[in-house]
Amino acid sequence: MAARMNRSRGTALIGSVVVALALSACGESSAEAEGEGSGSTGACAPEDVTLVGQVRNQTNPYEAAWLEGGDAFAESVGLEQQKLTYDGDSQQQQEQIRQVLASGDASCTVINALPNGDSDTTPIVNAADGADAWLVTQWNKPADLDPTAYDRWVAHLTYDGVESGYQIAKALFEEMGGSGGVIALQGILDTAAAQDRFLGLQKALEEYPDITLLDDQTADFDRATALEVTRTLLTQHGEEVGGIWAANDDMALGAVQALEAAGVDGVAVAGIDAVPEALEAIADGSMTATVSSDGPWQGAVGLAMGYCAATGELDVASIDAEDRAFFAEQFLITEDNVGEFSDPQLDMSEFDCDSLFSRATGPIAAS
Amino acid sequence: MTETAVETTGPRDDDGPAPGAGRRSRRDLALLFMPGAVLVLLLLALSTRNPDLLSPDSLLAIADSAAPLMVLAIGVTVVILCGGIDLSIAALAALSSVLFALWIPLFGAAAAVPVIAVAALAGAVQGLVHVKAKVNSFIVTLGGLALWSGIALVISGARTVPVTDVDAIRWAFTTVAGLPSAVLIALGAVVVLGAVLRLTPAGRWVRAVGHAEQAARLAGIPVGAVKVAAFTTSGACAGLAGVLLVARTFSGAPSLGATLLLPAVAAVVVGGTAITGGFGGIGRTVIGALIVIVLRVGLSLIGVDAGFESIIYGVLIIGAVAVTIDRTKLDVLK
Repeated sequence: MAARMNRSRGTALIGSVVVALALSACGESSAEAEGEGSGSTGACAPEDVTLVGQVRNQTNPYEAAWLEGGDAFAESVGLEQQKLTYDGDSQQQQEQIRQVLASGDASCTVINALPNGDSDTTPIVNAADGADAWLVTQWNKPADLDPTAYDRWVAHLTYDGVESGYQIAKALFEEMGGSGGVIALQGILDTAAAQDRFLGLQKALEEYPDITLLDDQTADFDRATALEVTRTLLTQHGEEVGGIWAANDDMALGAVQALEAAGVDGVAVAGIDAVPEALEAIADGSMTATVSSDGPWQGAVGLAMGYCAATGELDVASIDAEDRAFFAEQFLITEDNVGEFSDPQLDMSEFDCDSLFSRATGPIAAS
Repeated sequence: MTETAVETTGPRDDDGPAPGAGRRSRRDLALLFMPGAVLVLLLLALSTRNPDLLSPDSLLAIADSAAPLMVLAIGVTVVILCGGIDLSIAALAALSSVLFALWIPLFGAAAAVPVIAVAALAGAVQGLVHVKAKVNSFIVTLGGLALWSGIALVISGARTVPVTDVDAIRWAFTTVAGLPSAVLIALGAVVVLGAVLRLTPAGRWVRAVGHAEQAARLAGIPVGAVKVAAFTTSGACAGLAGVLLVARTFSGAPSLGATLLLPAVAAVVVGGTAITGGFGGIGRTVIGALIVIVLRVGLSLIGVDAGFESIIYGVLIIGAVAVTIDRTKLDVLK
């Protein structure tokens, strides 16, 4: 009997919580704004637009810079950016998107998201489409998911990994005087980024017949692994090594450490990503080149595209199909221009509604 | 005879595990109402920064987000009530998501049934190893975590398996009469499991085993069978959670839901179920899961960096365990 009474107490507890929730909800229900309908142009008053920027975390300098770019754009149109971070947790990313869409007027909400992985883009697109929100995605997307099939998925932008790998390879080979041996540190082999970047290296090798690829090993995009791998390869190939090509800056920095530890001078090192440490290394001469995607621009341009569409200044249906999923321009950073990138400044004129796609270098090739 | 023995040794639903003085009942009262109060306070506090959080749509979205976690957490609650722990749930949910995505082309929506059956079987195997080989449940399920993740990686080719037949998963991620179907499914699981625990001797047995295994054995309770059943239930719940995850992400993946282990355990202990076993219930876990999701979603909505979240989980779990733990069982602290 005692057990039975306790049970009903438990039920009463749950019941009272539900009632409490319902009561607190009632007070707010009138605040729910009416929708602005669907279609490829919005009719939101600029002050009604909600700007949302979502990245993995704010501790990564690149993603922190992305959010700062978003803040700068939001400020330029008199709004505030809502910043979301999900710490690499796909589930949490989805939860945040759904929550943002459920609170407030989704049809005037602009989301500029960095999906955690390719497959995470599908549910984000579906959630935004279902709520008539404006969406821009960057970096990750399944190849068969096409923004042109959606009214309010304004664009997807990413960077051509072949081009990044090619650009740093050329800078590296030039630094080596066009001849000598290089070793390559590959990324995680089953990622598209690692494969594309390595293709870029091979493309450059074809143009420089006097450069020989002594060895390529994976170092998993990881600095510590790169340190070990480089140490081994240096022992193996010794003085033949004139340059080290790394598929990202972290590995390049690991290679720099290995060179310093081995007391080897005069080996050129190049990476990709333009992390602050790599920029310092380029400035002090221990690295030759890296490539920047310009995080602040990414953070701002996604919001700008959505903002222009939501306020009706940009008709999504009229955007060139090639610009709906495009490769954006990336920048080779060497000793000559590293100063400009150490403290990047946004050029706000790039976010005018008619110049949003000025950095598009071409459509993402279907693979 | 056995019945009366159970009545005296076995603790009851929300009672303190040991008979005690008046002080104990005040603690019980606190344990009973605290989780609900925490949930309400949390919502109110977060809504001061973001009033939209309390809109009906937003509350439904919270409930919807909580559904897979809730299903995962009620399963592990049964194991924890038994005095064990199941660390494999998130990995098993990930494996289930891969199986579901792979089997949809063969069975359509009905693929959920074999998936949940396989997950239940996996849970049963862990339970059997725990009981027969007398291996600590912590170790068995830690091994299970590695094993199921490994199998998921192998059968998926370490890749995400997309679901192209969207109609086959729509039932688990749509709205029925204005309510998210996932919430209805989760509540259905809660009701079924709750009914079994309340209307059959199962609930009493589970708590008796968790409270004092030796006494339960002496009282004639089939301790081994109860434990295996608990792990089977936990496995089946992980399977269902995996299915729900596939429905909302349109894909299955070996990493899908792998991050839900800590939140699921947090949901159980924050709800007020003692990690030492014997005390608590799945109703508490429902509240606990809502608290955890409100934290997950609410904190990021008011602009707290996701990196701080683990800190909050850690503090929350340690705090909740410190409040709910049954110290009469702790002869030695390790």
